[in-house]
Amino acid sequence: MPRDVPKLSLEQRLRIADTLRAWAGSHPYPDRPQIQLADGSELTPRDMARAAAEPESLRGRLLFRVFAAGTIEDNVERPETLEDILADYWKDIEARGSEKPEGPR
Amino acid sequence: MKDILFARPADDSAAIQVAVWGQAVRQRAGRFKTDDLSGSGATRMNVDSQLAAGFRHLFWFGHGTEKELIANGKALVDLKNVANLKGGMLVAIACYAGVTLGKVAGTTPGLRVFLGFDDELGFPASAVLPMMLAVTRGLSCMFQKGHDISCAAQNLRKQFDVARLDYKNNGARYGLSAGDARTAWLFAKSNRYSVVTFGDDTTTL
Repeated sequence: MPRDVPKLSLEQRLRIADTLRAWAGSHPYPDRPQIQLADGSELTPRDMARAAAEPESLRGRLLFRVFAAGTIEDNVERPETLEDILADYWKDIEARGSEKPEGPR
Repeated sequence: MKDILFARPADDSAAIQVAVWGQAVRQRAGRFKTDDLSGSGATRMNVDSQLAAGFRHLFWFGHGTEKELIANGKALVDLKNVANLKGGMLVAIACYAGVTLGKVAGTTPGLRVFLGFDDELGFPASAVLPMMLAVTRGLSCMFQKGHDISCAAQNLRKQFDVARLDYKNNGARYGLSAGDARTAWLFAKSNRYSVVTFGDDTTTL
């Protein structure tokens, strides 16, 4: 892909997929566009979960590039791990009363 | 010859949003001779005729692919007509145009330099203001201070950094949940790392 971003491991991608599936499942508006893209498409929470479940699809690849870019360390703010990033989605899930999954997050 | 042709097709909801950003940028272009193709006026025929009439620079706010800037599924700007610029810049606030189209800058007659993105340009549907400010403030140094496009690219990156911090620190003020704000943060950061220039980046307006 065009941008040079860190590669996510399979385990990281699975964690993203699990998180987004739970997040979309708990979202009050899972079919409302969350992100507008300047290619004319949109991403809803359910789209994001679906994309993460299909890592070889165009949207799946985009989604994982975006998450990978999120882990780039720079001097703008304290570096964050994938766990830090996903924790915000789990805050929503827990606030909405959805079940916590088993195992590490 | 005029200075800048703005093209803002506004052919769907995302493009309408980005077209407004273009309007805001044009407001800063007071000392330059500009023209504007917006909405239904943004057609291939009109773009071609305007470029033939003579513009140094083209600022595009809309949809893009790797090889084309598009509206209603049709290419309005591509390798064929971008060469009709008169030795200036193509600024493409659009997806993907930095992958192929932008790379001809400096080797194509008429197009000296390109500034755009080599991946998706994404913004949160319900809290777009920080991204709009990133683009309008990012490009403003070229209009207001006469800086070159290299400076504008750096400013654009810095302003996407500002946007991402805004989403992180003030997401609730925008009505975003923690996850919604993080999604916006992710796209602001992704946008920041997708900004590219090709060609002679010392070019000014």
